[in-house]
Amino acid sequence: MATDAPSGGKAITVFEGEASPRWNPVPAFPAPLPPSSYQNPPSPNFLRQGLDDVLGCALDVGCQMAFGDAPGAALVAGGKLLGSVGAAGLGRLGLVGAKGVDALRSGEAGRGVVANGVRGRASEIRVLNELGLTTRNTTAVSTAEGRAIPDALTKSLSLEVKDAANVSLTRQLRIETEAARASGRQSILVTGKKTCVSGPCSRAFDTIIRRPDLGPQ
Amino acid sequence: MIEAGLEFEGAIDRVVTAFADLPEPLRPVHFSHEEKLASDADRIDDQMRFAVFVAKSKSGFFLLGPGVTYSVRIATGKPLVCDCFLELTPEALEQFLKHMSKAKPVFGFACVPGERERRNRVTTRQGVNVIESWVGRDTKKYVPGFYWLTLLPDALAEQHGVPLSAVKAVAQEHVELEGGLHLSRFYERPEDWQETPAVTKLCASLPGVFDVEKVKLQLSAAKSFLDLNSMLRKWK
Repeated sequence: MATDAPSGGKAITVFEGEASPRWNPVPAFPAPLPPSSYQNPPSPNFLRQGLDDVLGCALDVGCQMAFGDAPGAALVAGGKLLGSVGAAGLGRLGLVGAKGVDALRSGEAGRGVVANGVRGRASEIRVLNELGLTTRNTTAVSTAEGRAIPDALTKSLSLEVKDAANVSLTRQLRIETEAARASGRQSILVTGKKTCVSGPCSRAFDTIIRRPDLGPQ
Repeated sequence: MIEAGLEFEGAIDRVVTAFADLPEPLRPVHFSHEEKLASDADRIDDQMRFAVFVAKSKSGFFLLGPGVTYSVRIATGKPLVCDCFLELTPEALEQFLKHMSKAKPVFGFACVPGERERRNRVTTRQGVNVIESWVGRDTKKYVPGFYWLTLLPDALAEQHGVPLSAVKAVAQEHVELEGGLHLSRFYERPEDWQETPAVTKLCASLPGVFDVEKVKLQLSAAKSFLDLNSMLRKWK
């Protein structure tokens, strides 16, 4: 969930319950990321958009990293480090700590996550366009439990793209599907042909669209 | 694996109590926001901790135990839905529905996932997209269908003009439970559903019962995904 931070930038609220004992506030990263942070450096405009996109899909990226239980996956926006995803466990995010700062300074974590984020967002936009949805959503949906931002939101549907090997019913997806149910929208999951969607997740979404260009190839 | 579905109106407390009071091996042990357990300390028998968890989990949660996963989904102004997945014997499932009937569900069923998909899921193709959708699950519009075990209250049957005599005539076993609830078993084992066309015919013959075949005909006319989506929305 992205919110306005006291620094004037954006903050990502990704944990639930009590803060991890390993949690440390993260200072603003002082300088833009070095070009070596990207595997394939795109144009400056595209890069800027890409960084914002990483913020937009931070939860997705975090989920993928958390699946690998890899500390140090950085969350980046506007050239600044916002935090890092730690070994918070399957499908759960929330460790924002010094490891991420070190990792990003070394360029390792930032490189992977930015490249994944930009690639992920590009495939998401392509998928939305093919389904006749031209506008990328920035509006949050909410339930009494919290807020989440679906990838597409219209009067009749709420859609989430998951380019992953496994998709389960996380808190983010539960908020999206139940907000859709309350508002009478169709809740739609777009994922891979070979993606394993859990039973509870497949019951929570009204529709699942499977595509060969997403998920495990 | 057998799945069960239950729908309730009103108080979450009644439903949570019914789950917590289930006999073993049906009884869940832990609670979680995710499908997998976050902490062994999240135990349902820690009543204070569990009550706090339920109070803050306003969109739903999981209750977990060996061989059981209960997904409770909550949406404002809508019925509370429980998607239940049980790696237990058919006999245990019958016990499960009888026990949960004490929480006064609006509707309930148990069957293998294949039967659930046969009754309430449609698959369409548009280009590279394979689109799988649930249909006919809204009890405000219809009785969603009949399944291996079906828990049908008098009130829902009456609301949709479904004569209980027609249901009893097809069921292998029929039990009247407290609170005007009827538990019907339509075949011996849950996996027998493919060999028993009588239930499919029953769904098609009663106007107040959802019949997936009517939807399939309409969906074939959809020209785009958005077109399809608007049709599916009418058949929730």
